[in-house]
Amino acid sequence: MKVLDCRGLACPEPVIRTRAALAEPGLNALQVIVDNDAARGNVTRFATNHGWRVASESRDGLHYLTLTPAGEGSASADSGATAPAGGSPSGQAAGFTITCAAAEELINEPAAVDGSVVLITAPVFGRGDETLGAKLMSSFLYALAEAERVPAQILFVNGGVRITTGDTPVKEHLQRLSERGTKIMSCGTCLDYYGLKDQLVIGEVTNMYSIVEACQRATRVITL
Amino acid sequence: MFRLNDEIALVQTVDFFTPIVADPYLFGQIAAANALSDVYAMGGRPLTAMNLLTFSPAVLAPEDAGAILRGGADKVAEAGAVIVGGHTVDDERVKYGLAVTGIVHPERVWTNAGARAGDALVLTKAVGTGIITTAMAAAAAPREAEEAAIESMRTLNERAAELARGAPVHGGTDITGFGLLGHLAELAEASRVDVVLYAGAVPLLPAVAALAADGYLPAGLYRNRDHFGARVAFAPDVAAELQDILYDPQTSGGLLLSLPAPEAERLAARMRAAGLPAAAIAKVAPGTGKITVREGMLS
Repeated sequence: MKVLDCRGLACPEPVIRTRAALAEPGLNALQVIVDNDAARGNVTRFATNHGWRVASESRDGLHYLTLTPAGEGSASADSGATAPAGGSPSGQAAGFTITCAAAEELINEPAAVDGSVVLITAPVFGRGDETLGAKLMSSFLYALAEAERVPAQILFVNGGVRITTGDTPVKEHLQRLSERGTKIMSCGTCLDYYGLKDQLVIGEVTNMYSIVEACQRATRVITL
Repeated sequence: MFRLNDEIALVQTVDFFTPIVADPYLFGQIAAANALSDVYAMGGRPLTAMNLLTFSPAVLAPEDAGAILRGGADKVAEAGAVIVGGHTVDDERVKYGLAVTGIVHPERVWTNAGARAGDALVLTKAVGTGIITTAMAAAAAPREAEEAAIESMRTLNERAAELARGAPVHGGTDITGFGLLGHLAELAEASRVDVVLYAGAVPLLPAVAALAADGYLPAGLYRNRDHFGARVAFAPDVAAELQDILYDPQTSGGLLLSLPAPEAERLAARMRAAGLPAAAIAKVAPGTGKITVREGMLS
């Protein structure tokens, strides 16, 4: 049985994670571990309301909620959580645990942003093959966007502005970062120099004074 | 409350909290409406306010901090009060609110100890902001619910208080963190009365029942139920979601005013005519601080 460990998580995070876990096709049982009554109540409600039966067992201050489909064909599938229609692939039965990260009271809360600044000076990551470099840049920004805490700002300077403009392959990752609270800033002089000023597709234009200030205020600066 | 002379008493109150909406200007407005509410709940008028803001430049851009303060300032101006100062502290976590000073006539202070048997209680805002903001944090709130909750939270209780001053109000409070039932229980205990709440009469924000059924309940709701549950008895036909909603902690909730039952109906009608979602929701009876919740409307 798949196990979702939601210890240490404040509401509504356990429901968000249960919702995501239940949306996985072919799931036939899920155990959710929570350590507070609010999370137990909320996960129970969500699951029950979306066609799952919940068995609850409490020991050592933890609540173990076992979610199974509510009954023959009665599992109602709707947005957010999909109950399985029939049997599930047996290969998935081996128990594995998804460990939830530390608690954040609210998603999109400013605390999910740390004090760091990432300075991106080229459209590619590292020196070497350009195609590989572009790929690495994309996966770096993807991983950054999925990190527990995102940087306060990403500053794009010199050739870096090529990936905030036009048909950039990393627009989606930058959008996700922006939604999570990261400021996406492109150097105005650089945009001018490359003739890209009217092609900016994400974030805002900045100048060298603001770049200096951002770097000086940052808890750390990561330069690519 | 501090009595200055026979005509004027000072009322002072402070409240601040972490952001509950993403937009800094709206957050400022909500925090200010919430902080000002206490003065209105005592029957007073706010005169001055002082900002309290914590943030660090690493987590909040200076222009966003400016937007929070602008939101607060606009609300304070709307209330006819002035901001006379404030204090900012460097903190990883953003918090904003105000310390508010107002005046009230010492003989006309509303407290939660003033309800009398034979009164009815008028609630001036719809309930459900805690559940909706929890659902918003999980990206599960319908837009309509989100907008209604934000609009409700940033609405000053000024207009409601003004209309209530024209009625024979015995006492009152405002609905905040303890939820409707928690504040009702406090009022019943302080006034040494029992209260019968008519669940069907309580105005609700859109989609609240569906979101409650889906488990988007803030932790504070569970705490309220644990803390006040022993004093509350529900009739068997009150739906589980509705029971939860009545314990939902509110941000910048409405006023709860106690006045003779016939007057309460008239005041609620006047408030509705002025565009407020007010309703007479409960009856006050002789007693010892117990709350009974029934299905249906107050008649």
